[in-house]
Parts: sequence; C-alpha cells; structure tokens
Amino acid sequence: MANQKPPMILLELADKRNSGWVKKGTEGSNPEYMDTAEVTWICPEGFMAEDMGDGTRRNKRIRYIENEEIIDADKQDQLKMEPKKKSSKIMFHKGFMTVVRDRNTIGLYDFVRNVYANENAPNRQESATVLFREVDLNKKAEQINENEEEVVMALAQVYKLRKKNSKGGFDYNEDKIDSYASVLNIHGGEDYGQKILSISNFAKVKPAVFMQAITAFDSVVSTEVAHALELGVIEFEENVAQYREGNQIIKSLGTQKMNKKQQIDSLSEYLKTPDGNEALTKMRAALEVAKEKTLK
Amino acid sequence: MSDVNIFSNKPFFCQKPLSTAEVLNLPIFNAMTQANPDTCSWNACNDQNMGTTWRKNVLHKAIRCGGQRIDFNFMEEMFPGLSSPTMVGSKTWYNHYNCDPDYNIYAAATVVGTEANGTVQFQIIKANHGGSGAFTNVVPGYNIVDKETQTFYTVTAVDTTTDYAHKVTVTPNEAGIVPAIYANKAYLVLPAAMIGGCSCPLYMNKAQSIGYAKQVKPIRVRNDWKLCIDLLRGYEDIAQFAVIYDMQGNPVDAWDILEAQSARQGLRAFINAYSFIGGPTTNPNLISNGTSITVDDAHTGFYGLIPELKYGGGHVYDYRPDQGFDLEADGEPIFLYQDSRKMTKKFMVMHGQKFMFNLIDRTNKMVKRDDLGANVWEAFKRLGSATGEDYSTAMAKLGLKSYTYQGFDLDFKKMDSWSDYRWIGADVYNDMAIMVPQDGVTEYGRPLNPIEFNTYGNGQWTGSYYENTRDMRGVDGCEDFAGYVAESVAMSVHCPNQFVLINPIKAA
Repeated sequence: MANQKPPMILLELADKRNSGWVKKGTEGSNPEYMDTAEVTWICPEGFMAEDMGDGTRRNKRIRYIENEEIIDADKQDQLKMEPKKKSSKIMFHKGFMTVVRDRNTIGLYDFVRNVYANENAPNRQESATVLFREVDLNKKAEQINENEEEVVMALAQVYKLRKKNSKGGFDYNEDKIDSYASVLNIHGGEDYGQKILSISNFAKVKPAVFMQAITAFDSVVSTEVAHALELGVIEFEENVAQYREGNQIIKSLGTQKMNKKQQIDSLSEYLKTPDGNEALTKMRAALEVAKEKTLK
Repeated sequence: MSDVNIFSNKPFFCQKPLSTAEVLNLPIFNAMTQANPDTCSWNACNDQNMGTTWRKNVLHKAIRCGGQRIDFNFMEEMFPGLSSPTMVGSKTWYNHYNCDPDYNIYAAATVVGTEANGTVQFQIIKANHGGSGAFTNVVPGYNIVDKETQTFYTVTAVDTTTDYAHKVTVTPNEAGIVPAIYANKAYLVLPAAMIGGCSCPLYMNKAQSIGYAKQVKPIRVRNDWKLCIDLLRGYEDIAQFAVIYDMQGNPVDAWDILEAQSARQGLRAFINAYSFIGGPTTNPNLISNGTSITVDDAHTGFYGLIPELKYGGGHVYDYRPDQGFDLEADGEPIFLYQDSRKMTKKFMVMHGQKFMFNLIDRTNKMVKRDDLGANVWEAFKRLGSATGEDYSTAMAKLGLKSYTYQGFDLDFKKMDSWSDYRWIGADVYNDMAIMVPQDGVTEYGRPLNPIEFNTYGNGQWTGSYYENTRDMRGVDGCEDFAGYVAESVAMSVHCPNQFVLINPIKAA
C-alpha cells in the first residue's frame, strides 16, 4: 500500500463566538467575521485515558515533544527525552490546525487525537477543558451539498417567474415578481430582468430564508381563500370571484375552463400582488367577521 | 479601609447642638446597641461622665463583619478612560485596525515536480487570501523565494477560479533545479517582476485587505430609586440608617440617602463588569425601540475586554494553573512570537492572585531546573532583626513584581477584584492574566491607549453621567423622594492582536 495516504485530521477551536470584527473589503454581502483568536497556543502536556484491562481506566500523562513519536510522558522521562521549551508548542492560527500523521508529526497527531482537550478524544474525562474538536470532513461535505441543494431549489422557484418567448427574450410574471420583492423586502431593479436578478441574488445568499418566506406567503393566502369559500364569504360565479353578500366582484379570472383548485390558485395569485392587496385586506376582514359569527 | 463615621457631617452627640434634639430618643438605636436609655439621651449627655458612658456604648459605631470593600470600579481604576469617556457626535462609530502585511505565503500541500526546469502548481492556504477570498499577494511575473535554500521561482500563472483556493504555477529561475514547494514552509513573495530592456505594462493587482473593522455601539444604563420622605423626618428613623450597611459594608446615614448611593453603585458595578466580560444584545426579543426594559438599535452595546481578546483576534495562551506559568517555557515562546512580528516588548500583566502564587512557585522550580545560580537564588528569606522579631522565627517568601529579559519587560499588576468571589471573581479570573501592550498601538505614528472609552454628545445633551433627584410632593402629590442615575458609554479595544490572554485550562 505504498500510495496509501497518511491519516489527517482537521482541528477547530471549540470556543468560537462573534466579535463584531469584519475583514476589510468583505463588509458587503459576504462578510468575513473574526470569531476566534489570531493565534491560540495549546498546552503540549495533558492526559489521555488508558484502559487498565480490568474495566477501569486511568489518566495517563502525555506530552508532545517536537520531532518525537512517543507521547507517553513516563516513557519520555525514562528515555531522558527533554521537552523542548521553546519549540514544542501547538499553535492554532485563526482557529484551525491540520495535522498529518507522517514522519515528524506522528507524535503531534497522536497527542491531539488523544488528549482530553480534544472534545472527540476517546474516553475523555469530562472535567477537562475542551479546547478543540475534530472537524468531520464528510459531514462538512454533506452540509455543503445540502446547502447547494437548497440554492438550486430556491433558484428554480425564481426562474419560474419568467418564460422564454419566441422573440428570444423573456416574458415576466410581473405581479408575482413584485409580490416576491415585497415579501423579501427587496427594492432593487429598474426593470423586471433586474428585479429577478436581485431576487435570485437573495435566493443564492439565503436560500433557506427565501424558501421559507415564499412558501409561507404562497400557502397562507391560498388557505385564506379556501377558508373564505368554505364559510361562504366569497363564491365563484363561473370564473368570476365575488363576495356572496352584495355580489361585489373581486376579480374576473379569465375565460379558460378551471376547476375549483385552479380558481383558488388563480385568485390567490391575484390577491398576493400589490394590485390585489386592497382586495386581500377586505377579504380578510370579511373572513374574520364570518369566523366570529360561526363561533357564536 | 478608612474609618468611616456613622454620621458623615459629624453630628456627634454632646459635641454640638442638633436641630433634631427634640426627637433624639433613639429607641431603636438604643435597642440595637443595648445601651441604657437613661444614660443615652441628649439630656443625659449634659453630664460629662454620662456623655462619656454613652460614647463608650457606641464606641464601635457600626461594626462591619465583611472583609475588604468590594472593588466595583476595577476597570475604571485600571483604565481611567472609563471614568471620563471621550465625547463624540454620533451614537455609532467604527473601530478598525491594520495588520502588518505578511510577504510570505504557504502551500496547502507539498508538491514536487518531475523534471528539472519544469513547473509545479500548488494551492495557497486559505489564510493567505483576502477580499472574500478573491485576492492573494501572488500574481504572474512575481518571484517567490525559498528562503532556506535561496531558490527563486518565477510565478508563471495564477488560477483564481475558486475563491480561497488560488492555484499558483511556478518554475525555478535557475536551470537544473527540480521545483519543489513544501507545505508548512514560508515562501517569500517579492512583489515586482523582472523584465527585459523593452517592456510593456504588466498590471498587477494585489490583496488590499490587511485589517479589520467593526461597528461600535454604546450601552446606556439607568438605575431608579424612590424613598418615602417620612423616613427622613425623625431622627429616630435616621438612626436606622446608621446601622444599615451599603453593599460595600460602609455604614450610611440619611445625610446621603442610601437608595441614591445604591443606585450609583449599581450603575458603576454594571458598567465595570460589562466592560470586562460583556457583549452586545443581539436577541431580537430584547431589542425594541420604546419599551423600558429593552434596548434600542442604537444601544445594543459593545464587546468587553475578555470576549474581544478571545474571539476578536487576540492571542490566547492556554496554560495549566496547576503547573503555573513558566516565564521561560511559556514566556519565551510568546517573546519569540512577538519578535517574529516585531510587536511590543513591554507589557503590563494584569493578573489574579492565584496566577501570581503559581507563577512564583513555578519560577522557583525554573531556577532549580536550569541549575544556574540555584545556590544563590533566594526563594525565602530570614528577616533577622529587620522586623524586630526573633531571627529564628521571622521569615518571608520572596515574590515577583517585574521580569525583564533581552529587552522584554513584564510589569505585574494584581487585579484584586478578579479573586473577589463575592463579586466578579471566579476561578478562571483568579488564574488568568492579560498582557496589555505598553506601546505599539499607534494612530498615524501617535501612541494611542490600547483601550479607549467614548460617549456621545451634542452641546448640553450628552450621554455623560447624569443624576437627578425629584421631590415627588410637587409631581404626583405623594410624599416621596425619587431619583435616577444614567450613563452611556462604549469601549473600543484597539488592535486586540497586540494583547496576550493567558488563559487557565484544566487538563483532567
């Protein structure tokens, strides 16, 4: 197995928190925050758990000495291995350290894997201070994949807002674009192409927030329309949505044939637009009154 | 602690007439001091002997059972700027610092070429990128140098496709060399290109970002109090105050209202503790513009000294207090690091009591370990006749006030409150030390305090300390006195990377 790679671990400081400092030049949409010390020196002496063979364990004294493979401090003492006072230091730069178990770093690798300061050390003593933890690269990769999936799903929703037309340009669902921009508090863009760009930028940076906001927005209004129909606040006369009392028309939904669900969806789409905002407010008020009557 | 009189304006009985003589019966006071009422009245004091008896009965005044007073103002004492913050005309300001540029880069992994005069491509580690990962200090045309072997490489290409993972292709300048770039080795970037005699422009954009910036917002703290006036009318009631202690154990009477003192004290306690270990309010449930027990957007607060150093780019040196801080094994790596960055050599070391005890013990062992001058190193001393004590019994353990080595100077300053477990003290602070730079923080070359305090203000309307007392009889008709104290302050730690936090940890 000549080509087998030596084991490698990525370590991350356990105690990280925001400090408010942002790296200059990154203050915009992708700020790089400082959440740890510039340099953290880890104590090169500590303890690891040793199985005594009878079900008990003891705290074994271990020590990292630069360029030495043995970390057992008692053995080091027997072999007269002296700690190198100035160089056997373990340093994390900006919260991270990578150690490869190879040649002169075998001792360092074994020390950081087993010392109680490592949150993931086998059978660690709980009372010891946790200083760092191992970063599971597979888990990180899964997280990255999941994030990417979220972005793709969010962008798919954004690009439903436009359709390619026969002239090589796009037809925009202008009402819905305005609705999304309003819900997401996005005010950029002179025309609808630019507005979609602003919305897609938001979806890329915060896909989870985007999906949550538009899903809630879409489903809430549809539910309210269905509820209003159920309580007899509104009705569909052919394709015309109107209030049952007074027959006041809310919106004519077009001439094509629609089933009930399509009618609800179509009316919901209209109510979600800035133009339908007034009608939505009015319908909500009527719905509240109807609900109270039902309770009585 | 200085001797504090019960009555701050000295209305000692039998020494001067008091306007409250007619109510000077003091039944409660007499009961508490177990004095004889017959000998403790004003009339009785007309007799010289009786007056003496009375004073004997109250000889101890109000006896405190506590220890030293609590040092609420420890941050103000260490950093006097907190008591007199600099006024600025805004409620939000920016703190920023520039790091020194580092002309070295590191490879993420070792790469070795296959042939002489060939090329190798290596990836630069994440930390060497700036501007959201889009820039590094390396551009085609530059030279990078293996300082140990004095080998020059010319950068022939830089692939900037992936942020934070730029790939650099280099080829050795000298013929016959197989290129090899090693991980964990610093390669010096020489930021100019070698050209021929007839050259054209070769534009090179570098990473501009070599520092950090942050927004600083103040806190505003307020303390209100209210007291029934009736308590101030009769001297017999005032006497209650004479045997009431404030939070620091000082006896307080009605010549200054205890409630007002407590309010002031609470304010100081909050501001000092917050400046030490506080952090901004970011919970949206506590940020509301209007309600009295929430803050508003402009007063979410700042990071205190400890969070600033731990999370804001300071230097943290973890050590084991059970072994003690070793000025050689622990101190010298810090000195070497300081020297490698050409940062300050002079520190004020603020520390808890236990840190110093362990430091002294470790220092004694350090001398023994090095076996140099151990026979003349004094850890203890017989005091002899110096104290007037018996030579064979008086001794002293020798301590440490400062340390100097090769231009590095440490001055130690004990922080009493860090070991005051009645207050801010805790094991972690008792064992902790902060190395505060005594120089090295400058603004356009002008020395700057490493920690600065600000408040806001415009004309007479400022965030400075304000105190107010209201006679509520003229406000709502109730027979009360009320008042409040309030202050706004913000703290900026300049260049946290100049500080070293010596942080205690438990190994098992």
